[in-house]
Amino acid sequence: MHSRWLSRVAVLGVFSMVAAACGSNTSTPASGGGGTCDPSVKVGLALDVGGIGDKSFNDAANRGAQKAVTDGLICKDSLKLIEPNATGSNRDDNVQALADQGYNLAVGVGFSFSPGISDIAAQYPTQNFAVIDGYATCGKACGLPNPPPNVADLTFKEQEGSFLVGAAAAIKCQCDTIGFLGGETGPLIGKFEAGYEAGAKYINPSIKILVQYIGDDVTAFNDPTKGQALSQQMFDDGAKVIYHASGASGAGLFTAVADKAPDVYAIGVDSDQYLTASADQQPHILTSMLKRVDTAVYNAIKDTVAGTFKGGAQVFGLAENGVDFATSNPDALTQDIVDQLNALKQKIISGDIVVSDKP
Amino acid sequence: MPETRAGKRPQWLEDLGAQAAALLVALAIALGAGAVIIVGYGVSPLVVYRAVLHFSFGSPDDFGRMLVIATPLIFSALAVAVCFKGGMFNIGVEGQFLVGMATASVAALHFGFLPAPLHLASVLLFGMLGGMAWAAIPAILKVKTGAHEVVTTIMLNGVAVSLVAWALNGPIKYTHAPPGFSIDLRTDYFPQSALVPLLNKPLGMNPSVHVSMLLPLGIVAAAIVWFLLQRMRLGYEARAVGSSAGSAQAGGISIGAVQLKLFLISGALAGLVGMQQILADRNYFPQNYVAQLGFTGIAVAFLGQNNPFGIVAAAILWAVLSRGEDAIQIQTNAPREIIIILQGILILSVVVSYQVAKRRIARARLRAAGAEGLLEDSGADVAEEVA
Repeated sequence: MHSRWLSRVAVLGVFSMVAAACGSNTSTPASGGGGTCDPSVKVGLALDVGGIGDKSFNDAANRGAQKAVTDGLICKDSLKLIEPNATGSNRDDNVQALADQGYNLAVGVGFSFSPGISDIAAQYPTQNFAVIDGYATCGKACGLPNPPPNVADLTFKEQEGSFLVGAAAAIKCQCDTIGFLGGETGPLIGKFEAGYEAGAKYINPSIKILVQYIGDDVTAFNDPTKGQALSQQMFDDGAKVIYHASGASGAGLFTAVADKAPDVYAIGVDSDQYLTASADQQPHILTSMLKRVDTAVYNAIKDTVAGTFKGGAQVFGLAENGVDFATSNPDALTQDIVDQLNALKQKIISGDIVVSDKP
Repeated sequence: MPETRAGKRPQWLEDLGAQAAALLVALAIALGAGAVIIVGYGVSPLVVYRAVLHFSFGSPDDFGRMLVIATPLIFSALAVAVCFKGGMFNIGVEGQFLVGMATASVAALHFGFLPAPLHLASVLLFGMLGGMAWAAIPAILKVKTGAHEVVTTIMLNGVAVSLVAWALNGPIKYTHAPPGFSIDLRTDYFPQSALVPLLNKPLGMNPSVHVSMLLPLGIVAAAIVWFLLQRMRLGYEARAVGSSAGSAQAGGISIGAVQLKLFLISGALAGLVGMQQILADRNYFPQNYVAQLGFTGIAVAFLGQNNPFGIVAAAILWAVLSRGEDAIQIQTNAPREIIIILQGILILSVVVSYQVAKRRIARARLRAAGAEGLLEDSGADVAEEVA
């Protein structure tokens, strides 16, 4: 009897867990729309897990698409956003559905869409497909079919944006030690590390950069506890600024930095993390390295409307406005620093400075 | 009175009828309640429901894609049901299916020297063995120490996630890393001989619809489970242990042996849950595998009232609703969360309507036995024993 009762409670518990896992987001289609939009071009965004309201990739992609609507490139009714289920198991189905419905451009917001889109695109040769951060055009080397000409991978020169925030760290701290907190070891996060180090050394050639990685699998991007411990360790070793490229683990860095002296800073990544930080963390957030997913999406839409969409790897750097730094904390990132960074930005764009993507 | 004559039909048939009726009533309630909510969003329920049906039955491809979703759910719900018959909750189907995917990958990557049909057989066998091994831990803990399986299986789910992450980072990680691209961690591609034959061509579907032989295999598995639980001694013992362990023991049944056997069968079924995604959809084992199938299996087993054939129907129903999440977003302006609400209401209404049906059957049987007077005070308990 007792165990039966216990089992029932347990089942209830499991259901509530399942229910909790199916978190909810309400989509809020933005208003607006130009009068001269072309109703024949339909654009669909297949969002990744998290959906609208994730304050990161998905929201950024949506911003780019909404801008295309506001600018009159496409009609409001021709834009479709699809969120996947809680586990993302229907990513491919969502893209397939968009393709079936004749959408002229389907964008997979996240690299997990790559294998699916490289398959699907081949069946719909007259429609365009793009993957943010994708490897759909990698072909045989990634175990995928030969890339169809209507697929583009939209990737970013993270090293260039990281160069600028590295320079910002060195300018701001006037110190001899800064830190880098990486998520998963490998070539992807290596680009962030390389740029950050190059930027800091450009300002102060003798600066020492402590480097810590959280782990060597994707769980490293979701381990704030370890992120906090490693950040604490680097602060203890004398780092005055730490830049993280570790996804959700970065929350640990922000926790660690909140109770430090006012001249100790953290730098965010991907989106402007100052905006989502708590009040006690905000003064410590110097800037963030921005990946302009919105720019990539907007450009893909623009090219599709103009009929100039090109398949293959499209890389967005500073010149393409694909990476940038955030200026939402002017108390920390003062105007003179911003001016210096903008000067560096011009040098990178003009080719005077070439940032390597390998540490 | 038709109810008294019902006693002459075989009991399982009568139960099946009651279950089907309960499911249909529950579906009607859920659709009705859902309609109210959809109207609240300012959308026509007919438009939404038509879109949902269209995405599963509108074309052969849509139908096939729906079946692809249903396939793993059949296995995971069967795994849940087998343990449930013995009064145990295997919340660990999730972990068991993850381990099964890893062990099956080992066979897929390393047993290529076997001739084609044997290679696939060895892969499926390894998947089942992996699931069984992972299920054996909570089973042995329960039998030997009395540790409650709900706690141990939930905890082992977490361990399984880490174990699989470790395996994908080490022993089964791809050996031919693509240069310069950041791809998700995975195994190498499996050789063709390790893959489950697809049914898309014979069924006239597009090559991107990965309906596989695993679907008929799932139906066969349901039949085997039904036979095992209804016609074999283990099934009788399982029901005895499940309804009253004390009486079963007094009747000479070894509780521990029954529980262990049920858990191992459950684990073997769980080991097949992930085969659709690694042997038919992806053809490799990726780090970003589709998880949660084990938990969804609990809901599907519930919908199917732990009846193997009810589970097949419930898996298809669940898959139709899952496809509906896409349908709603593509074809209407209603939010996809409507489907999640529908699934929740459906489970709730199944609980209620099935309970009502059980009581009615119990009443009818007692009336037939001329024991009407007993009903007033003990109707509910008797109803549970009959079930």
